[in-house]
Amino acid sequence: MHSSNLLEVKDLRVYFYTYAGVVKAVDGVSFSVRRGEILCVVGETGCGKSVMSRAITRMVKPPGKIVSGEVLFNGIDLLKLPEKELKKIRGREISYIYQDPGSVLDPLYTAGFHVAETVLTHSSSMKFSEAWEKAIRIFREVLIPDPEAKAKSYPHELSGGMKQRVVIATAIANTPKLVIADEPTTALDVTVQAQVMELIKSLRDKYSSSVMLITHNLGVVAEVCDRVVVMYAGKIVEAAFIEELFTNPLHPYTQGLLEAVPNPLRKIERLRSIHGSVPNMIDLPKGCRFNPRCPYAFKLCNEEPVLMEYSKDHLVSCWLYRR
Amino acid sequence: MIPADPARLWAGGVKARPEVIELMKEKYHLNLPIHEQLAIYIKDVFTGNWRESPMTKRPVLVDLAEYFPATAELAIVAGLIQIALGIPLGLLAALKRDTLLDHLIRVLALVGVSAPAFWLAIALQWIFYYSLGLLPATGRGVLPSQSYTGLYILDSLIAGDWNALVINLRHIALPSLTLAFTGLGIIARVVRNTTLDVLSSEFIDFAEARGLSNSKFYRHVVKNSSIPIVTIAGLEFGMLLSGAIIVETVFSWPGIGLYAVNAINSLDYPAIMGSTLLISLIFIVANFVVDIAYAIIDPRVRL
Amino acid sequence: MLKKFNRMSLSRSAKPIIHEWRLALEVVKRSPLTMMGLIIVVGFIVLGAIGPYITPYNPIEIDFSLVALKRLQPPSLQHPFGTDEYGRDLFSRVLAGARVSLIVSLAVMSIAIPVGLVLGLIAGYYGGIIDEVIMRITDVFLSFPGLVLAIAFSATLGAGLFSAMLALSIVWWPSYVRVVRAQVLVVREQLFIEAAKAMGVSTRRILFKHILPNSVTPLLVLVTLDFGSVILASSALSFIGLGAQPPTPEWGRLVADGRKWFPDKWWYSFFPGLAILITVLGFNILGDGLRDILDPRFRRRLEFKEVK
Repeated sequence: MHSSNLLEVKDLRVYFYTYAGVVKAVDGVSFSVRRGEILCVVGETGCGKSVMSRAITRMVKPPGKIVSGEVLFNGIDLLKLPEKELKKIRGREISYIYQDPGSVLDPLYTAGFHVAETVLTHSSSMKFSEAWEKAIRIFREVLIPDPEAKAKSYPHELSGGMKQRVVIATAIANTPKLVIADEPTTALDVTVQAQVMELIKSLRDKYSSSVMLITHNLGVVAEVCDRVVVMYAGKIVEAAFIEELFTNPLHPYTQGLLEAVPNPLRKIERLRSIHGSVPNMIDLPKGCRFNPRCPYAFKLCNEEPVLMEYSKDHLVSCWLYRR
Repeated sequence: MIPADPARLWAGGVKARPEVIELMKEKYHLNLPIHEQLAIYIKDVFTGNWRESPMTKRPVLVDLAEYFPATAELAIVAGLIQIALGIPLGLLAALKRDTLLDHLIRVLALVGVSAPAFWLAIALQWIFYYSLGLLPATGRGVLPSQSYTGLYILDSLIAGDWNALVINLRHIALPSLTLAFTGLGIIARVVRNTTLDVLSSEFIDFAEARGLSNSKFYRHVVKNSSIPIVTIAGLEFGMLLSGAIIVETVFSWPGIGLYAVNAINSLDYPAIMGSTLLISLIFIVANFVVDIAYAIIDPRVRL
Repeated sequence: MLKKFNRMSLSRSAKPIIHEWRLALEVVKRSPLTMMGLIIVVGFIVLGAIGPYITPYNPIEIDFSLVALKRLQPPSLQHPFGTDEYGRDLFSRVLAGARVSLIVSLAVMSIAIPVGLVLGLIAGYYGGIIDEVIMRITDVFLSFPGLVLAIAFSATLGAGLFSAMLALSIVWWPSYVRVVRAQVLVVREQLFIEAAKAMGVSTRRILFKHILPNSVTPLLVLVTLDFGSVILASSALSFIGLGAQPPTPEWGRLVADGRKWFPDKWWYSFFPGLAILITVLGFNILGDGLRDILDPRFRRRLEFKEVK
């Protein structure tokens, strides 16, 4: 195991218990996040990426349950840590950026308060005025114009892009080692998206934090990521560095994803969409979950494939590449 | 359906002399068409002339002023009970969601909303007075040695008149409980639902993701919950006044409600109008206060 | 050709409502409390309808020859709720009272609902000054507490069930205007209304065929709950002397009459009041259940089991 791995997730399983049956939202997911890298987790809606991201700091609520697995953060298993210790890690070592900044900020408190509060929680002796000053400093760093005034503003007085910057500010307030960003730009305008992506890149460049970026937007992935993990129906189907993934996509699902996105450099007559639809997470097909939609399916696909190393740093879970 | 001749009633009923009846009609403008009567009345109200009650032979305003403290005391005590019991019960139900306790509290709230106040009052009288002999069934208690506010309990406390205090507390127990019962249920239910809603909201999630300590975390929960709770508490206080009409009747509590019901039975229109107006005015003020409180707590509402 | 287009059904009213009700039935089946509410309400309606025909004794007539013998008897097998001061069987009177309450609430609703609907539709759809005027008038009514207003109107109109019904109707329609208007505001922005307008469908048709069906759902919950509230209010009015007059066996009236013989003849006041409690409880439970069913968030929650 590399010591450059900040986060190692091993065989994580998160199940939801419903009257209709057990939804295996995350079913044996293993991957790692290295220091100072931006890792993208890509997949369609419902593939389990959001659930997985929250399971990392054990924020899964009933009827969901973390059934098994390990989450090693700097060698410590977060899933076995007592709640008190875990609280110290949340907001300080690992922080979150959510999708909809509008609903994530408490409408009754000012923007600056959110940041100051986060700072105060993880410091033992700081006074509120100091925390407030720090909040304004961080607002400046995330390029919020007129930070003193904006800090005193309430969320409903700020635009979407501004609100997301506030969220990012709370995320970096305590210089975390890992920032988990769950679809941070999906709810924003395109122009604002670009600015936020720049901010996220600076997290890696300026603060040396690692970023786990969850998205279904391949454009974002191309812009920002170092490495990519592709998820489908609760499992990881491929993992590779970004160039490798784009030039040599192995898994049929990855290939399908890339072909469904317009490439301005290549002339294509029509976009290919992936035939079929996402499986019912309660009645999963036996064997490879992509089997029903895979153009290359063959007999072996009735057995569940394992994540194997195709080449250095390029993993894939597909019988097509069996040795 | 046509109202019995009120003038006759005011003049003394069956034995009334025709001249007195005519006098009454003159005095209360009963000979005028109804829209003129209404116009005159509205003008009178705004100039402070709330007429004279033909039954008590005193200005309605004087009557109201005399009976008001009793109702005020009853409403305040009932309001306090509503909040003191309603909020904790609601919180308990939210935190112990879907357990037996939660269901019990919700059933209690439902019964509170569904039970007719007059029936509840009678039932409580039967249990606590006629059966157990623990608490008095009617009346307000005794005048404390010193009278400051007209609120017997407060005055007894200030004057240090412990005997009076105990007696007055015993007298107010059943009426205030009856009055509080409905609103209690509503408040408990609103508290429960609001707390659950807030606990499952995204910003609370975010608070957890930031690793906030318990006290900071619950600060967010409480402040966000307080908006609907303050609203409903204020509304229920206004409703207490209309409930007081029934409760005072059953317990012979000498407040505006009793005054109004007596007025109804004697067709004392000025008194009826006066009491209705007073209660409505207080209701309006209570709503207004709630609106202001709302604006104080929630920055989105401020102008 | 235009005629053909007009007959096209643009609204989603028909099919999804059926689907909704089937789903609703499923949910109701899973919640025993709501089931109980439904049973009580149905029972109340049935008793209200056929009550007077199945009473063991005549609820109104007094048999003067038997009065001395039968008056104020405690509950027994013959008279489960006891007898009143005229020897009448109280069980029969309470049963007959169901019809009175049913009629009163139906009457109030049949005035308040149409008025509230129409005014709410107009205010929501046309907006502007019409909206302002309607809402101001509604607000004036709403700024007074309901029972107090009902007492004031009832007292002015004179004692009696008819004036009580009228008074309650006046008090009740404003809240419906608000609810309907709010829903109309949401519905009228939706795309299929734009499409209808673009196709030249007449305003009246839009209002009645498209906006109305889609605006009714929140009203349903409110009406169910309000049935109970009207019964409480009318019984309160009867209790203080307005509303039902003897010999009408209205429940509130019966409780008031029973006070004369309190506490010895406790059954007189007890059973009619209990009837009110159970009936109103039924409506409240059903209304709550309906509200939960129609709330999509709740439905999702229902699908999940609790995991400890």
